[in-house]
Amino acid sequence: MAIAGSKKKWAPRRYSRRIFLATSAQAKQGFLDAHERFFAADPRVADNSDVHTRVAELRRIGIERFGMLAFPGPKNEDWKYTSVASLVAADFDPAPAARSEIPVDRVSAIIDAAVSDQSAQVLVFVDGSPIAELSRNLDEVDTAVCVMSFEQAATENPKLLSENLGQFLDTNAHGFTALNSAFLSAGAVVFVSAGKHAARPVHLVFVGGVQDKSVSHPRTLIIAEPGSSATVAEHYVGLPDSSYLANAATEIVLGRGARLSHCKLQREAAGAFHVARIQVHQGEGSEFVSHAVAVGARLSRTEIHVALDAPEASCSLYGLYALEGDAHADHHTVIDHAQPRTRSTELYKGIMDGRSRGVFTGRVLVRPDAQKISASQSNSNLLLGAGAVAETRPQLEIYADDVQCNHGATIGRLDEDALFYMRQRGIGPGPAKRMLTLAFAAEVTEHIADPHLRASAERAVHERVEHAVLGGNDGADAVHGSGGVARDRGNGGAS
Amino acid sequence: MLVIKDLHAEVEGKKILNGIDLELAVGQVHAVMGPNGSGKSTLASVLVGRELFKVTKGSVTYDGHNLLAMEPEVRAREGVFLSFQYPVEIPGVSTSYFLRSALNAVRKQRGESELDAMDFIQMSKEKAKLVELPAALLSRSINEGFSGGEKKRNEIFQMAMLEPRLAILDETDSGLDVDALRVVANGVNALRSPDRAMLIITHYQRLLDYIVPDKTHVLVGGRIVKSGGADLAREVEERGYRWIEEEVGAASV
Amino acid sequence: MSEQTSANDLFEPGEYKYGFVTDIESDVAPPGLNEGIIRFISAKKEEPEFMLEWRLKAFRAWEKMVKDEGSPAWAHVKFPPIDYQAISYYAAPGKKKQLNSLDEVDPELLATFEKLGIPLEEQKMLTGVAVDAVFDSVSVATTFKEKLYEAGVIFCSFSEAVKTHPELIKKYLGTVVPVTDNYFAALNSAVFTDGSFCYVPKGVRCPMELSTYFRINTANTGQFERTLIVAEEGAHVSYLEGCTAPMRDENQLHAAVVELIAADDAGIKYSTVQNWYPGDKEGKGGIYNFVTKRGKCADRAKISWTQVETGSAITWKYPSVILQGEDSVGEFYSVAVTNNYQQADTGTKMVHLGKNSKSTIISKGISAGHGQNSYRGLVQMNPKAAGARNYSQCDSLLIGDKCGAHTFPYIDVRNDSGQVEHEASTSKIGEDQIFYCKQRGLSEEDAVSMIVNGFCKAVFKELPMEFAVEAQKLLNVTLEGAIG
Repeated sequence: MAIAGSKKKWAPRRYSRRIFLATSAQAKQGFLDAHERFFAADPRVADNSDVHTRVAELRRIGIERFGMLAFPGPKNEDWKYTSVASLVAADFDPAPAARSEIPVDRVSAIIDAAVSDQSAQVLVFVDGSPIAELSRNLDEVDTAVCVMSFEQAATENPKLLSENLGQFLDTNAHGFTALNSAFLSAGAVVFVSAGKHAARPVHLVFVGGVQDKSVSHPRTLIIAEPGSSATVAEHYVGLPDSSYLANAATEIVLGRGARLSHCKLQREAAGAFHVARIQVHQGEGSEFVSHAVAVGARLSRTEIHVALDAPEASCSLYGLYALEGDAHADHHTVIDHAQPRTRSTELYKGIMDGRSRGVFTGRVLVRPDAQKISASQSNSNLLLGAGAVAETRPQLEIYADDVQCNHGATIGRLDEDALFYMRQRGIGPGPAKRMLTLAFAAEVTEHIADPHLRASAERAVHERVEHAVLGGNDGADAVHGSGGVARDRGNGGAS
Repeated sequence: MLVIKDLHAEVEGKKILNGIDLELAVGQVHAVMGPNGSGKSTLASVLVGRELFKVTKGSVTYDGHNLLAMEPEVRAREGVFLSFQYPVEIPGVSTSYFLRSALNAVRKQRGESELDAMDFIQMSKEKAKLVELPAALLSRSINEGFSGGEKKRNEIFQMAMLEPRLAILDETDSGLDVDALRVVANGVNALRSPDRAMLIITHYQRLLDYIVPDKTHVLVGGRIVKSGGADLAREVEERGYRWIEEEVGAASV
Repeated sequence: MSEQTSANDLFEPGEYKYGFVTDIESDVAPPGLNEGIIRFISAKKEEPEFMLEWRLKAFRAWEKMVKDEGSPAWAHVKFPPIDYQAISYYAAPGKKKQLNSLDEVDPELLATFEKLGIPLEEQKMLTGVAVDAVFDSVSVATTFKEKLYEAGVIFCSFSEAVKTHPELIKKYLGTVVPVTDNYFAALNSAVFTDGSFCYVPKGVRCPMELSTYFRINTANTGQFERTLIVAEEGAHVSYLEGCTAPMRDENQLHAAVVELIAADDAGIKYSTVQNWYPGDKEGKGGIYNFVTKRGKCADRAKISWTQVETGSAITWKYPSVILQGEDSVGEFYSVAVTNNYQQADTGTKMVHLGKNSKSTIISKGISAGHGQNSYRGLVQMNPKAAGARNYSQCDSLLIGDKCGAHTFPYIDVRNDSGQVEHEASTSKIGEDQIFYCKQRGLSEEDAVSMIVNGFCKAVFKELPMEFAVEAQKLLNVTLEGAIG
């Protein structure tokens, strides 16, 4: 295979440090001012209910921390491969988006595309605010799982919110998480009752970009009580052609023996910015499964921090990023084996076309005296575009000895031998590439247990890959087939 | 059907084939034998169009067309099948999905309609019996975790499915025990047909006990130095390759 | 340095402000670090002007780093701040305390020599006992030198090279590790006192391993050592530094710099066995070893680093290769052992710039006692490095439940035809493995030693033969007391 695009110039997307510091400081000031304007004298705090006291406290801590931390700069080792220069320079409106006219048809279409299952429970947020009219089946009485907006929770179960909100989220991590807390106003609560099993997934859909240049801070609290099990999906979508920032934070608490499957599908608009932090706290013998799929946004960063904070807890993290154009996606995971006999597995894969850039950092920490640990981690990257970049940092930090830990990372192109084998059996190079690329992706998505969610994730990836592999360059058979023999395209299509 | 004339080929600048002449008529089975490094597998690779192998001289025509000018997948669709010596493992792509795509590509070329999933399953069940391939293997990724014998049986199974006009078997016997060898050979024999030609490439004669060729060629130093009937294979088995090399050496002096 | 003393003041010729009055005749510089000291060192060593300028440039770079960021904090090691003004940066060679016989040497050290099988005469050399006439190091060295001279190989101390081959030093010094490279490299560049220089001319294959000679020479290794090896087109050399015997040194801080330059088709193999004093069982004392090692490879050239790191309280070291040339090859084979309270943060950088460049990384970390062992590495493939390949394997073995093993690889590929495969694992020695050995009659200690040596085999086989055997013994000695 010829080395395509070797003449293409690679230009580092770096801004000078000085410019970054200036724009970053300016953006920071914008957020500080907006906070002052909107929350300094929030009338809702005055009614003195527990929830409002808690929210006010979180906002205060959040803005304080943000004031200290600001946006992560180039010297921040955790952000080594992800520059937020373009984000701070994007001139977003830091004020909480006012409720405006929602283009219902367009937004509904986006929601339907995200959640095709019409009977599913869906809670919809538009630019950060819950929209009852677009949500579905929430009043269905389900004894296992309860889905509410913060507003509802504040009246129906204030204790749940005031006791759990912000309990585990680390606002010291960096400015974005602090900012989420600082602008805390709306969000979703998913509560799974002890011992109950929710048969079907609950969907949270966050639609961004209805107001161009808006910023939203989606916040989600998921509580799986002891012995319960459920599946929760977070969909991040947006109006195409708009630019906005979604700065999400999710807190997940698993009680003893609880099982939770969490699926985050990031399909933001191509011009959007997306930052999300998912913080998970696991009880004894609990089991957490995470799926993170990223195919959208101009710049996205997903952080998943799992604390295996009790013996026998286990987690599995699966991730897939499929990028094209100039997209940049960064996944940053930390698995903290704080207690003995905890287990983790992690599988992340990236497919980079065009000049896109996929970043993965996976830190596995085994604390002193946390014995009998098993942790395995794998990150594989496929580079399809000549200007594509993959950066990976698998890290093991181990302070106990009775452990079985490993990680592996690969970066490369499609296997030439496999491609040839397929061509020898009559499959054209385009379909063969697509088949191999989808197979590469399927090894991640096949772990999504819920068939609807799996199909939805696969669709997102197929669309991206279809576009990437067959989109422009050498996908079609047109370039092949000299010798005057009739040709066709094979039939590598989805079955 | 297949006419190879004065074929020269090299790999990374190293000359491997130094003028091969061979004609294979439809319905015939030819064996190509030779010691290690004689160019047997290179010949197979050149015939199916591996890019690593550069043809420097000579021609190969297939049904009157210039085979060397065709892309690998075009050759396959035109009915050229290679049973690989080392079938590659492809994680994540199920054998049945892969094969259905391949089969439909080939069928389309032949002007036949595409097989739907049901017909395909029916057909693959039948053909799998031919080489005693467990149906469960079809749902697994291509060759992944297959034993050596299973990989070779999978190759012959695919050949049965794709019904090529020219089948090239590259060291299909290597790594097989006696029982597996018999299964594979039976499968191949069942596929012998007046409409199909076969080129069997092998180091040892033992496969040829089961698949009796119409003609045997001995390849030494990138050239066919001796051709004969099925007996030649047995003679090679008994006397080794040395005597032929010596004979050729004597003749060329 | 205070704000009031500007660089200009210090440059005033003939007069050193800042109260620096050291007599040029003196053999030892007073503690402290300033431009005056740099000038003193350079003058003492009778260096040409360009060397002094170079040192001063390094010193200013270092001062700026001290001001801006201080000593680097990213490595996974902990140590109290170093007072650089308390160190004396120059002592004339040969002024070490001489002992009269081995009886005056720490018996524990002698026991270790015994275990390692180090010849008596060599033991004396290493401990600073006056060597008797039987072992004439000078004549041995001379024989080697003659042989090398015939082949056209220049191999001498760095100081000597500065005098005899200033043009080569000027051409190559600092071209791989610039003075501004990092904190410790800048410090070394400013104050280094000696080291080795090796130059292998075009097409020459160095007739011997540069090991035995060096081993004799090594007893006087300075605190800030500088090594420069140049292999011209098609030249080959294998160089071995260090010693399996435990090295005691009065100086706690060691900051060496090694630069390798491999021209087209050249090959340099650099092997290290580092066994500086690791401190006692409670973690008191021990050497801080901060080393910058880097090589540059031109077309089809190959640089291979092999290291066995068993000593020092702190090891901070990343032998790296800049793969500039097409089809160039970089290799890194490492065994690092930390026992008691030792800390090691070591690894490599493979920077792929040339087409089809290849690199291999095999790292084996062993932690015992309270030891902390980190692998830190970077594999970077730049857009122009089409067809570049890397394979990395980093394994850690844990012995005891108070130690730590950490792996921090950075992999950065900016090229769709680049290919990287990285694997790492961390585990303790399998109980079933030990049991298997015991069942066949081995003691636990022997079983562990056998398993550990097996774990390191892929690295040991890269060492020159006689050294591999010693390295194995060394490993056993280092891990003594870690089991049971």
